[in-house]
Amino acid sequence: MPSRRAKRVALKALRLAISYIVLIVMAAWSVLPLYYVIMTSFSNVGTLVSLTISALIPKHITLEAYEKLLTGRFIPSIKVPNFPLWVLHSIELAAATALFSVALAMLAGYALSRLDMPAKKSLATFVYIITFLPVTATTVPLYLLFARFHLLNYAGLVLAYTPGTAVFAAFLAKLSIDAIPPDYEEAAMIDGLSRFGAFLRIVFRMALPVVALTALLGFLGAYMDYATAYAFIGSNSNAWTAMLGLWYLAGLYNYASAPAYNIFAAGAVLMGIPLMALFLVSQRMMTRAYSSLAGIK
Amino acid sequence: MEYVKLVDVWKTYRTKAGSVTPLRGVNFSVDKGELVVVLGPSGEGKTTLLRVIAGLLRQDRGHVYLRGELVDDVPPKDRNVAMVFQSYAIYPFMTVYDNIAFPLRLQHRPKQEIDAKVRQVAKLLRIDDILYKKPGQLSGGQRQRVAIAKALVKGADIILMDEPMANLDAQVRVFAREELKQLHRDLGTTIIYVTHDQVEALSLATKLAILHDGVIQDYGDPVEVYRRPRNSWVASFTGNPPMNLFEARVQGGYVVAKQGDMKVEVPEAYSKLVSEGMEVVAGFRPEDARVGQGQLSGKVTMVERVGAYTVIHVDVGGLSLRLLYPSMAPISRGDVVSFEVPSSTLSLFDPKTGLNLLRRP
Repeated sequence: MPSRRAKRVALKALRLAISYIVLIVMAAWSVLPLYYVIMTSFSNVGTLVSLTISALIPKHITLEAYEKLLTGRFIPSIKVPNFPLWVLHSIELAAATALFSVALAMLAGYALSRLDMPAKKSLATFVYIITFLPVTATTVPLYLLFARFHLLNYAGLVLAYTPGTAVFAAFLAKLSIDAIPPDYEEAAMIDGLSRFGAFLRIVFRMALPVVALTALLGFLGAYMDYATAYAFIGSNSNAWTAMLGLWYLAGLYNYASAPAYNIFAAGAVLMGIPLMALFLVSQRMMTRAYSSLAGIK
Repeated sequence: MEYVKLVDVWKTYRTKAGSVTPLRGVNFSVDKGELVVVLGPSGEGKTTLLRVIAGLLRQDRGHVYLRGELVDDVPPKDRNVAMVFQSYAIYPFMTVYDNIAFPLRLQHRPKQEIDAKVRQVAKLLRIDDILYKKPGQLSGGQRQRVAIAKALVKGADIILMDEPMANLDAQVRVFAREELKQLHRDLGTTIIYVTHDQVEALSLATKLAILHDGVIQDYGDPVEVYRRPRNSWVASFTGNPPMNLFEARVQGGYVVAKQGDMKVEVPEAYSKLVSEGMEVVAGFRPEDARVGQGQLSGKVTMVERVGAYTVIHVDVGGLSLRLLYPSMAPISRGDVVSFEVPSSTLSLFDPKTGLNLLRRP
């Protein structure tokens, strides 16, 4: 009957329309802020682009903010362009944190998974529960503790960041290593590796998705941190990380300076580049990590 | 020369439920060039035994000697043994070539030598056409070959095999067995092979060891172990169906069942070992009974047609026995069949210790 078919077609169109409207709104919701930041970074004035619809389409695009950011010396006492130095610091810190997180998480995960030790199960549960606590909550106690040990420096920061990732990652590593049959390590030991050699060459390789995930989480945690870095090294602009520098440039750090939102936005875009690169490189790994942990092969 | 020797080896595992002791004083020695099959029920420590020999597990008590040397404190990588795992344990992230080359690369051998060896072993096992595939693309039989190739390439003269055929199809298994035998004949390597499959054990072994209750119950020529089991447990474990066992007494030159109408002449081999009135446990293999002739008779309680043979369960005056009839038997439940047991096929065991009277305890 034609009327019924027409009704069905109309209903289908309506359903499609609703899904598309929802999707477009959601996409706009997440893309618009990024677009806004990018547009601001191409502006030559330090104020925020005013939020009218017409302002969303830029009238002139300049790379002035980027130039200032890459060559500018905002803090006169630093003899080299400030921002690249701070980004370098951030990357160094983040890389070190990623490295230590992977080492700690894999060792702990291996022990929790393979070794016979008392109260293993309660320990694993405890490790998991610890991850519920926000890392920021530990900033003040860590500051007080590390001040005593003269650790308010990069070493201290790496020490403070590492458990933030590694504790959670140790739990992930345990799950991941649980899924690797011990036969592989035993075969490797007969092939001519020591137990530690088998751990490095076989277990690491087979748990690579979780290793990559841990590294990424560790990197992100240190790279994006503000609170702990501010507490530990905030007083020394020479040692700042990109995150501290950006806040300074945005005028949020030092209220006396004029806000320069275009520079801030340019900094945000530049800081995003290493993260994007890392993510693109490890995207396949990440998917595998999540699906293997969920038990889907 | 005793190439592999275990002296009073004990191993206990702690588990949540308590502890298990799969090895309770294993004494075992293997001569060079033998293909020893260790047969035993599942979960009775066969794999544990291999892992102790390989050094993957440290025994709680006792000693392990390889090539005449004490190796208790030698780590697996320095024991120069190879092992084929039940799961094959070929690394999924490496190609077949890299898998086989891995042990050699760890020894830092020159590149050309590694390449030559890998290709030689691959050719021997006929996997030279799949060298650049990943394990995920291989069939079960191919994976098994890769695992064996990996074990051979090291040149270890002791190879341990942990049920390497358990994951193969029945048809493939027959060929794999034959090939393994051929390989063993060609290379003369000492192989210790663990399985719970009796057919595999009997067809492969040059020496058969039976592991049960944490000790080696019987060890020797497979035919000998089958025909003259060292004790009544081995008799009841080996064979399908296993040996018929019944309590009996020696009376006037006959072994007479305590229950049931069963009477067989004392075998010549035992004539000097038994005395009038002595209590024994007697046993005979179902396939040794001759159905359809003889003085004994029993009522058929069950008929199992397996194809090549038929298992007939008979009740002989209260004693139930299993008899084997070649091919499909024209017999059905409720029939009365006559049979005889040639006295030379009878085994006699001590009722207290379970030991075969013919063998020294």
